[in-house]
Amino acid sequence: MPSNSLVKWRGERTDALNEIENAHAMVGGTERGRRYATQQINYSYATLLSSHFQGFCRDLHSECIDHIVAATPLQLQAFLRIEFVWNRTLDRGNPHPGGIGSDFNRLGIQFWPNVTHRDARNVRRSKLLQELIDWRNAIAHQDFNPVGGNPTLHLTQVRAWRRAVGALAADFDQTMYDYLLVLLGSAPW
Amino acid sequence: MPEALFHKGDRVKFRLGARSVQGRIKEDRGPIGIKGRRLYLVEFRAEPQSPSQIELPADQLEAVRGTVATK
Repeated sequence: MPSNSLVKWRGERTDALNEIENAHAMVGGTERGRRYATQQINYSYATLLSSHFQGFCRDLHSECIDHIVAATPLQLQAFLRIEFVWNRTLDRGNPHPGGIGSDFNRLGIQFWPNVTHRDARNVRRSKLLQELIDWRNAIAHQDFNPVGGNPTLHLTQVRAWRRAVGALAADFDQTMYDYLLVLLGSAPW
Repeated sequence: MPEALFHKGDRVKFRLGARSVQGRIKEDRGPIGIKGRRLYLVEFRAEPQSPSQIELPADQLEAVRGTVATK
């Protein structure tokens, strides 16, 4: 059984991303006009993908906190909840691998080593995630020098990022499941 | 799925150790907690200069009626 956060990722978040895919397919018109329109949709798609993956990671972090805190004495729970979300990267920044790692590490796990141990392909996927974030920032600031200077973004690239973060989402879920199972002595979800 | 009991901007109070602290709902985080319980992000000021945040389930929050200073 997946976490509530993964259910949401595979449900409403996937639906939202699929709508952008559909919008891309529905753009008509002349060749040159279509290319411009689809370019803007690809920018939107990449930005939305980053946003929803950030939402997933933040949800999963909160869900894990809820499980950990519930195992502590009631009078201490509020203090722990405050500490776990204090200055959380996922509340204010992009979901770059370093920020995700530092947020989850505060729950007592060595996050990325566990994620990459689960599947060696997650090393490559984390690099693709960083690439997505770099592009998201380039689009937001309209400065494409950090991504090589060429502003053209192809749908195939966004789809590759989506496959990568989709696989990461599933492995983040499983990694935290395994960790909480050992930590708390029972299956969290 | 549990329905939202609080909404953004609602004034609430919760226990922080021996104290009762007041704050405002900043975000409905949805049914992502244990067994799908709904979590809320609450902003509060334990100290005048330092806004803090906490995520709590509905059963640990109490609505505050009337005008309450949260700053």
